[in-house]
Amino acid sequence: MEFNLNNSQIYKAVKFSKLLFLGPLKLWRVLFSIISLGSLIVYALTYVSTKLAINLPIKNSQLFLGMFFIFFPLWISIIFLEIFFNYYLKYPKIKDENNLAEFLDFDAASVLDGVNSTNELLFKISNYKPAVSILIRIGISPDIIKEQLKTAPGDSSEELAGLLADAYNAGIKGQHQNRRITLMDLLTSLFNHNSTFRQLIINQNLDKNDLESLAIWYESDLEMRRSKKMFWRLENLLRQPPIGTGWIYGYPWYLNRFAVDITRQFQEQKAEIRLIGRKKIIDLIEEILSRAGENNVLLVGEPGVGKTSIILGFTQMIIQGKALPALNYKRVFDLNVPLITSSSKDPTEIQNILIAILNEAVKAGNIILVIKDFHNFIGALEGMGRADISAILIPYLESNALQVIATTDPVSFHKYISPRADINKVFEKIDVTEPSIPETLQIIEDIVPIIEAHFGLFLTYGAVKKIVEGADRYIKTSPMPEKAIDLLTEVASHVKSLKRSIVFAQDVDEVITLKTNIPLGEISGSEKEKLINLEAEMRREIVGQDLAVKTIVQTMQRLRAGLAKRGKPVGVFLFAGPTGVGKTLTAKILTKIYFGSPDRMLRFDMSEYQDIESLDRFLGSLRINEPGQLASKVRDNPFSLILLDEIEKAHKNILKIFLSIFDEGQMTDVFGRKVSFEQNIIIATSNAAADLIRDMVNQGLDPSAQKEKIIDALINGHYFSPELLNRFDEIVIFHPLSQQQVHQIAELLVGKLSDRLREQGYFFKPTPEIIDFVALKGFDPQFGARPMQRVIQSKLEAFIARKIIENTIQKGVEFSLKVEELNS
Amino acid sequence: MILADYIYWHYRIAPLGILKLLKNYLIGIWHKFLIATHFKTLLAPWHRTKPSEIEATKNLGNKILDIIIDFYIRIIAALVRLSIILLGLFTEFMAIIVFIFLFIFWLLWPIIFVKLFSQGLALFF
Repeated sequence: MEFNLNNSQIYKAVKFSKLLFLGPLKLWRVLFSIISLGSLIVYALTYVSTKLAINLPIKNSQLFLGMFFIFFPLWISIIFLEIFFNYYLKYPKIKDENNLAEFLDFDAASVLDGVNSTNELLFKISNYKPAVSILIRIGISPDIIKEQLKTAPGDSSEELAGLLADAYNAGIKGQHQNRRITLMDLLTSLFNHNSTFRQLIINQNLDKNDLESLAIWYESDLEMRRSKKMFWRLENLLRQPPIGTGWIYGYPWYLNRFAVDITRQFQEQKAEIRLIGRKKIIDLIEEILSRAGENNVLLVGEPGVGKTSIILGFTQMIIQGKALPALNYKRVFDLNVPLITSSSKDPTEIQNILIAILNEAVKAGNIILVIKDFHNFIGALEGMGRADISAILIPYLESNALQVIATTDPVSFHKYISPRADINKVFEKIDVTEPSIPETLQIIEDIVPIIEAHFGLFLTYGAVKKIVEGADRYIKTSPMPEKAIDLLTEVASHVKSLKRSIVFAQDVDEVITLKTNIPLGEISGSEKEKLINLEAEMRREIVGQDLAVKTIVQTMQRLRAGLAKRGKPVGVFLFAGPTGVGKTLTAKILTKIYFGSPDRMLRFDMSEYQDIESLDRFLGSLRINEPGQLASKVRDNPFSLILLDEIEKAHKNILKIFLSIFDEGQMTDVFGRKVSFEQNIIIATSNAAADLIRDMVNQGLDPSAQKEKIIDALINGHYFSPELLNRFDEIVIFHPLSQQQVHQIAELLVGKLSDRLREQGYFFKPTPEIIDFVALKGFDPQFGARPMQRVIQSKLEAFIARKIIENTIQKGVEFSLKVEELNS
Repeated sequence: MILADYIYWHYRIAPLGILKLLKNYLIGIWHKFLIATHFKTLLAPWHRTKPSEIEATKNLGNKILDIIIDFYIRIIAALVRLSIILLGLFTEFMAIIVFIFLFIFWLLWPIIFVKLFSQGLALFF
């Protein structure tokens, strides 16, 4: 395929714009309109004044008529030329499909005119007005591009040809299939063909996919604005509400008092809702509501997932007359049930009001009722604002005279609505699930201009992308798109409070860190140091388990460098080894160092979940209306370390659940809600092969080198299934402690006691005898070093405390202890 | 070349565009004034409300009165609806007139341009 811009149809528009200097032409148009209309008014005034015999100081009024005759045709001709250019010349038909230039749109053709290399193209784009706003959105100033191009390596026209071929593939065959190569396609292709531009984009933490996504946003936004401007289009003309629609239908006296007319609100706001990824649901609502018989919809979705937006989108469709004829121009009322129930103390009167409302809605013939949080009004729950209207409502729902859209959340649906056959029968359930990440990005892109206008800010594309990604990964309190919209607003407020006007990706990281305490963003100096020294720091506290520490440290470094895999927990480890060798301690220290607080460790003693009754407690049950300890704790602490102590003792069904958690990084609780484990490190501990490990050590073998044998023992002993073992990222063998290691631990713990005392002004000097004493008394062949802390408390701390009370140990004076004293 | 394109657009493409605009406006006005629906419901009760439903009446005199009031309200409603229908039809008619004028003005524009411009110059010199 050749590229010959001069021979293309679009080049006529480029030539025309250069020939007529279209910018100044607008000025001429305004000037001519003022002169022609002004001279016409003056002429008319003089004409009237002459008739009325009033003398005006205008001698020759004919000159003004002459001016009107000259400038009026010029003004109108400019308007015609502008229409010719904007609606015809800029959109020519493709005549020669072998010429790549035929596929260019006007902006793309304008920047390619006279360009021979990608550097020249980039320079021209940085000077081209429509492109500047895109560059600023990316976060690149046109001046920086010009500066960088001064020192950029030269490139050839072949590179430009390659770029055009890429742009053709993106624009014509690509996902947004707009049948024209646009400015955004050229910018996207520049990423692959111009190193200067590529580096600038990478510096903004963006990539080619982001440019493609930005292209879709810009092009759809442009198309929407262009379409709105063309007021003469039929769809725009039909947007006007007809006169007297209400006269055909009944007048809703009661509804106006006890419900909100969404239709009217919409007409007054004149705001356009663009529902992304919800077309199927709206079509389904339309189909259900327009059929004969029971035609009511129950939208089931998490709060914040977009149920109200769907109802608004549906309302917009019927206002615009785009729905099926049976539904067009109906009125949608959001019924305020708590207002009805609080309107009187007398239950009979409340009942009468409700019946009157429903009768009125039936009689009016054009009412669709919306009842939000329907579970509150079926008698399952008591409390403020709740009531049981089901007995009155159901007969109306059974007939096709009234249409209702009710909403509820999945938990309430399963708990209260699902068991009610009478309610299930009259509603058609539609599940409203969370939009996908690309859909949420589109939703946020739609809201960005509104937020920008409200806060007087400008969001870079990096920030927009980070808001969606950050909300998805780190915020688990509400579903998409609500959490992304909330984060967007919070970030905008945060930046506004700093008196800045541009929002960058770093600002999003800052807000997420403030909200969740999760360290995000570029790894800072101190944190970098912490990560580099993590191994040494952990080894200082954990004795004799170097391999375990190394494995953990590598995982943490991978996570913070941004290489963590998606769709799985950060790391899933099995710590196997005898009791009291540091498995739990390793997990605890890791939580403290990395997650900032030992409270971020969620510890489950799996030996407590051995029988079938405990399953409900751990995994939740509809019977007891509980989501389960695992789901609740993880939902409350999404960024945490989960420690599953003695996992092999748990009920087999629990282990089956862990298969999917380890594999997919998520589980669905009994109420159908997803719980994500993507931000968790999961450590399971097991004593199952402890004897084998101990035997190996006694025989002088290294258990870590004999891992296969230990795994075989775990499987053959039926402690773990091979499927579960395969799902651990690493099985870490903890060695039994040697005498020397026990001694080291004793030294460490006694040293800690000494430090604590020093903080209070008591200078305790541990002697080697005391360390030996603690090492001897604090080690048990069965429980390892576990009793050591207890020995320090019961022997050393108790003895020192007594001495302090007796005043035989004084502040500021160094003291030591004798073993005989402790034994006494 | 561009001049040829302009002439082609002015006399081939744009006139069809004007006719399409006229069609859009005729449909838009029809929709705005809800002409067909008001015509279909010309004699229907106003807001579907009958006087007999406001208060349960038992005696014959009241029933006859209800019928009379109902008839009277229907007539008033029909007049209101009819006025909207007529206004709508008038607007449609005006739209046709405006577009015919626009169409002629468009086709004759080169002549109008020359005529006005030369007349203007004549008034100056």
